[in-house]
Amino acid sequence: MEILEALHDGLLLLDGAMGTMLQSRGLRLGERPELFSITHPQVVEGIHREYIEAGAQVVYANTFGANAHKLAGTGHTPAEVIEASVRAAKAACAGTNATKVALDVGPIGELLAPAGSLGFDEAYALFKEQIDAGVRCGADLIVIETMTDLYEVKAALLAAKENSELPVFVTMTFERGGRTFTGCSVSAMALTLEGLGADAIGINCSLGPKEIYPIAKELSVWTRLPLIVKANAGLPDPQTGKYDVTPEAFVGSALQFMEIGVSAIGGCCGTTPEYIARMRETLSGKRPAKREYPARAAICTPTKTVAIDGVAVIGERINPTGKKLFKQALIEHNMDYILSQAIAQIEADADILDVNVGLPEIDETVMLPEVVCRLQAVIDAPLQLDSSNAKALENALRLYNGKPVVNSVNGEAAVLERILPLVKKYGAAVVGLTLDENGIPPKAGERFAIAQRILDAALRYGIRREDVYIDCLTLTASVQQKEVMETLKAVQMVKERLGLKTVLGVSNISFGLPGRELINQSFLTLALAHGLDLPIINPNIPSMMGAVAAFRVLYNQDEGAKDFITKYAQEKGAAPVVSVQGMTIEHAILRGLAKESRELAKALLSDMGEMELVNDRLIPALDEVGSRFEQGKLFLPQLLQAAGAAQAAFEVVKERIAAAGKPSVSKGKILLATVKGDIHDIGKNIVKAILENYGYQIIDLGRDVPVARVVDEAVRQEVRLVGLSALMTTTLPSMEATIKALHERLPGCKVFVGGAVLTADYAGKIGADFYARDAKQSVDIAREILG
Amino acid sequence: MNEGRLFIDPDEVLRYLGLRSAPPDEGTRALIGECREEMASLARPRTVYRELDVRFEEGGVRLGGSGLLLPGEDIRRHLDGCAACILLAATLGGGVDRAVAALQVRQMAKALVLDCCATAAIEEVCDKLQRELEETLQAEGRYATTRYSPGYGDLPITCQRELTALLDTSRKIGLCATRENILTPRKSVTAIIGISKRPLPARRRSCESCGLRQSCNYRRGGRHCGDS
Repeated sequence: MEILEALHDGLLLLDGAMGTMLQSRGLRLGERPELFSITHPQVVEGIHREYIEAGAQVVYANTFGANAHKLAGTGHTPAEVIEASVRAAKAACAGTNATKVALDVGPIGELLAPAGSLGFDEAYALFKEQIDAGVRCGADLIVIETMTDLYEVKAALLAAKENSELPVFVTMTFERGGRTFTGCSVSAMALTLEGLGADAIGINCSLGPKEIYPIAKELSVWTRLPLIVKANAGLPDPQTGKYDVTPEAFVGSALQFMEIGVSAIGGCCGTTPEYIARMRETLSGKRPAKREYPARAAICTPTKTVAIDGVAVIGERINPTGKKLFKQALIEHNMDYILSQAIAQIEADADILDVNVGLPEIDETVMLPEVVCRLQAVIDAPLQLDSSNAKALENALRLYNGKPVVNSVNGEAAVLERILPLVKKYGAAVVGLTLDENGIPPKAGERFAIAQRILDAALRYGIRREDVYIDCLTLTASVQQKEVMETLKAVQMVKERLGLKTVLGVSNISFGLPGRELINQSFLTLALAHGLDLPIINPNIPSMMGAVAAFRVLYNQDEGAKDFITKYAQEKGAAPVVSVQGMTIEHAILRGLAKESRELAKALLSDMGEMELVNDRLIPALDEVGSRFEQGKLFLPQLLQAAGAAQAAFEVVKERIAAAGKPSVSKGKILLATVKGDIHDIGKNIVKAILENYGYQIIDLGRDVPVARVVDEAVRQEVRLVGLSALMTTTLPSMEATIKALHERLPGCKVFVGGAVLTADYAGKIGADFYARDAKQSVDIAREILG
Repeated sequence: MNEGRLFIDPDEVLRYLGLRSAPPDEGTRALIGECREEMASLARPRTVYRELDVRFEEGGVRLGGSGLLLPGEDIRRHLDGCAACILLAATLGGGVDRAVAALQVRQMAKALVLDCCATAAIEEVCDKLQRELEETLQAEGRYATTRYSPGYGDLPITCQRELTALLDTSRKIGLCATRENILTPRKSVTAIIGISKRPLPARRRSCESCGLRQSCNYRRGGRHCGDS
């Protein structure tokens, strides 16, 4: 790839703006610039030629918005537009064998889910269509640019890597604070895109060179890849739209960029061939500075990077092993339960969450990616994908937004061969367990040897050393007491001799002993002192997080004990004791007091059955709340707080039932969904919160749910009542279609509907069996149908 | 317009919560206070606008010589007497949506209150921009109408995609429309303000033809969206 050689050898001069040039040559407001390649190919070719004459070594074809989404309604396909655009660029290059043509791929123009309704796979398909066309027309490289959403970039980059052999450059657009519109950080961009195999990365658009400089500098310490900068010609004047940086000043900035090692420079909005010509005059023959890149272990989501340069805690709670309620939640597809486990761990300061959803009853290849998507919609922490199922891992790796950890591989050759290529392809870090087909070796030295083997294999697959973490395996002290020390020794050896980060699942140590917390905490402290970086623990246990916090002070990681003081300074007494004296559970629910309600439920269950508590106390209390709501004596926020309090009591009931091994309470299943096209789901979730409290099992399909999915799921689960919500006039047709399909396939199934734009009349017109004005009415409907 | 702390009017939050008549209970009041604080740091208000000529045509108003015809009688009435308009778009950014989504897992009441704070916040962002624009226009001897948005009256929300494209909102402020013409991030607005060389008579848009009349919180409260 000569273009990459050019990048490594010296400065690669890119072209300047296309859009603003087209505007100055007759592009009208609202017209798609890419169509100019079809309507005015000579103009487009002329602009390219000017850039080439100015010295650009790469010209970006006029294909920025040539995707099926943006071209919808124009009468042209991406293939046609790309073909015309690349042809114009190639025509301009004719006779100048040094100039390369880039297929320019910009954002789709629609936000990906969960922010919008465009699915990752749909985004991939849109990009693939462009890439395929670009490759067919003979583009020399692919440039993905002006991106603000890391997830969209991932879709584009995967599409480019999987469907072409061309070099791929990626540049994203940042705001002054060093984040993109969607909150993506510079480090997250670097870690993710380098992992996914971009050939060069950088920054373009939105800001002038002065504003981009600090962002480019930050980027330079997070990646080994060659760096690209295409700044705007300053910032546009809000009145005139004129850009304020002159070609001379632009060249001055380019020199500064070269000093921090930027090796591909061009211009974005507002720049003209003159800017490029000036750069060639001044910069030709100069070489970008050599960069020092400190290798660092780090993983990320777009908004949170966890650099493992001290202890980072991995939360272990998303795992069904030994957890009855979690198993039940997985089987019933109760995502809220799983999400609440995640949120509780984040609130307890876990840095990374381990995600394990393996159960014999569950298809992990579907569940793992789904849970990953649901988690990344609400939490920022990076995830550790915990599975031995390669297909499940690949599905989840594909949809993960950022750079995750894969847990795990071991010394078995077959396992390494199966998993490591996935780790490499999707740019993850990986945990290697020091065991192999012969089991866990008793001695530290043998475990070290396996660690070495795993590292060698990873390096062979092109995985970077700093992305290999080793788990020397915790054995149970009650069974293999002598080997506890071996684990600690092995951790130290791996850390010192291989320089790798180390992982340990801590809680296993105390299995079968009383006082488990004490053993766990002590082992954790010892392991940290032997070089453990990534303890996998339950962060909701204060003594465990306390041990980490204390260690960080004692090992000088928490400078000035700042974090420790913040956390423990105010903790004079214990947390305020929940007083429930003189309070009834009805009272607690009515006032929305969740903690009190929980305590009272526990007390009541000591001399009453679970169902008795639900039917004789909780539901009547909720009825009272509901009736006050109907009378206008209390309002929606209070209704929801009461529901939250009742929920807390229900959780106690569920725990009790699960512990006793009894079947779970359900007064019947209700399927809820926000219809296709609609992404407003707060109303549906309010209804869900209330209905759950009455003991109904809710199958929540979420929002933007296709008709077929609602129907299939209703059929599969033999549902007798479905609730649909829509908030926009534009999505009502999709509600009507869903009702019709449900009634055809499941004649006995009743449908109730709700949402801001609906009325009882309209609900009747589109065939709904019931209209629910509010959450309380949905309870009345459920009672009528399901009892 | 990112400077200054975003003011969120507690009365507006109450109105969006449907608490127009009764004083809120202590718990709700505390939640509102908490959420107003959080919203001020979650929101990343961004706005973009441009002035465009308007041309009255059969069935609607054409913007700035573009291909975009805003259909309907109501937009014609709104821009009556105006030769130009300001097309604006504003968003609070996606962080707000994420926070509301996360709260819905365990704290539904708070999620609802935060969502209402966000609605109040985006209106405040638009009001502030409008005040600034009015001042500028006034200094030029020009006058502005109120804001008019897709979804009001007979102006359909199906024009959101074209409006956002016209302002290049995805590039300028990170705002997109879905295929169903829903703005994303969720707490976003597009609006049209007419500009006239003569002072404009106070005008009210009609509720009768409004697509939002069934769900309108102003109407429920016996008020009108044109009330200041």
